[in-house]
Amino acid sequence: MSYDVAVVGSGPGGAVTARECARRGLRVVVLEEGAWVEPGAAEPYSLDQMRRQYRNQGLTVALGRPPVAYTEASCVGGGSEVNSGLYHRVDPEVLDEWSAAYAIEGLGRADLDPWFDSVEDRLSITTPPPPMNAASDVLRRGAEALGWDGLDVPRWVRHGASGAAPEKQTMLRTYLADAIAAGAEVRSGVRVERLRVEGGRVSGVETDRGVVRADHVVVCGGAVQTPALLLRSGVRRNVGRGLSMHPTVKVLAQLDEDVNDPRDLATYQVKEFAPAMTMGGSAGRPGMIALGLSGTWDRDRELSADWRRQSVYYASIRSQGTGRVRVLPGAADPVVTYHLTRRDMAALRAGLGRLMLLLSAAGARLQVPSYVGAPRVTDAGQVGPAAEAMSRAAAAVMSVHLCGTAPMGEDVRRSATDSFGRVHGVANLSVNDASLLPSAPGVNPQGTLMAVAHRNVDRLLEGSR
Amino acid sequence: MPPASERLASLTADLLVRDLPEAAPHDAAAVGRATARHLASLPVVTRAGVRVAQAVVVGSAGVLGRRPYSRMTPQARADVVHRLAGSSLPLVAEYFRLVRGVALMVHHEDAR
Repeated sequence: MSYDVAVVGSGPGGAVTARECARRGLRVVVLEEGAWVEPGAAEPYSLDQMRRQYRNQGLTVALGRPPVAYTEASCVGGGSEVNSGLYHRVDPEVLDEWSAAYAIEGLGRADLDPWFDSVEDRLSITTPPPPMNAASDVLRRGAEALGWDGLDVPRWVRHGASGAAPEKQTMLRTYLADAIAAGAEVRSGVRVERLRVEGGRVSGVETDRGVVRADHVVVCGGAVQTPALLLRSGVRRNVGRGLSMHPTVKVLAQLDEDVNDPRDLATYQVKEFAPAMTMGGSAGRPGMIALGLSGTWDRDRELSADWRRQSVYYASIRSQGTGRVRVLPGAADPVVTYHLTRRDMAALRAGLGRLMLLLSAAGARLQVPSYVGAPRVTDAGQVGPAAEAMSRAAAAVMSVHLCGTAPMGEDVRRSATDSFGRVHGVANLSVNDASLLPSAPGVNPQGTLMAVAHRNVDRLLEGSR
Repeated sequence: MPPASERLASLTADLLVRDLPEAAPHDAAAVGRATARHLASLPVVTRAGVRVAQAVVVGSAGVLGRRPYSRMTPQARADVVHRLAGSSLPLVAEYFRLVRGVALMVHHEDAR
């Protein structure tokens, strides 16, 4: 079967691309390797969700010292189906930094604002009505006690009747639903092995179910799978290098009152040191609590029974380090590496210390930083030594928000695509996902990448008229 | 279950003798098997690294226990695995960090 546009990947970038192309009357197919799981069918942040909706069941890691655990969704709708739904517009200074470094055209805040507006309207971006959940309120109390800046972050959720759980506006409920209504075909469980590239053009994709022909291919597999597919297909210029992320360290805090809602997490973020550093809350199901204590399990296993009074909090940084995505002949999975610099490690220790100070100020009686052999922290005076003791060998670093492996821009020495995602040297091949963002932006990037994806597909469609 | 996964399940169950003393042996064995199944989904290169680490763990267990791991008594296996899990030996320490983390998740989640 032949299509006007084949979109590889159905996450936020792919969903925006498919919707806009289908609405212009093009024949669109979306090829998604993961399964179709209806929103709400898997309990949020659960092991069941990891098994059903995450690549490698959530066990992906960037090799390095320390290794950095990261997660990638693998399901129809991609990361939007599993993430916390927190929404930000990117800091204009970050856009300026990217534009200058990669010679990107049309990426100022004023250029993106209409697309942000469009995304916010479709995703029903709202700040949850009060009261804040208990885990959020811990962060708010700590920030207010220290005079630090913070906010209850808007989310893509719809609030139903009083008492009903808010409904997350995932891609399956929004952009993909629109795309399907406009005639797009979404095929799940289809792995794209490589692109058919010949003579500077792509003629289609080779999948594990056969060949799909298309006049234009848009790759939206995320910052690991997109470069892996391009590299497998022989598209190598500036692809796979420059992996950027938000390295994150965590602390388990025990409060006097119940703070743990296993179905949700803290939506308040502390922005006093943003965009260089952000503090917030992580999923706190009992399994996550036990995982957080695993580095000190011999000493702390009794604590896990008290999980209702505990929550996991994080400090994440904008990293100076960089990573790479490589492919090995015959191996289905790419190899991902990441190097944390000395400054990164210092920033992570500083983040850990600030986070523990904040939680102490919020009334946490007991804190356990998540690294091997970490001490218990029971008063603010113990914070500094506990943070400084986190070595590379002991650190447990994780990350989400991977970016930068096919950066956009007009500087062909540094970028993989032009300013609008069209791959250098292959006329009818585009990238339209977080791979394009030159670095992790210091905020949850889904809103930014969706605004950029809107802008890019609009330019692509203008060119096809 | 492939032999490497069976060995991983056994090592996990031995680790849980001390990590989760309240767990009955058949529950620890079930968590061990579930952990091995979960870790079978690791990316190819990481999975290969875990197999290498596991070979080092089994060899080290034999040295510590003065007989091959497979011929030790259950109590001896649990003792040796606990000592190795608390060590800072390269590969061995990382292996047990991974196995312990997944096993604890599995125990707490699948028991709910």
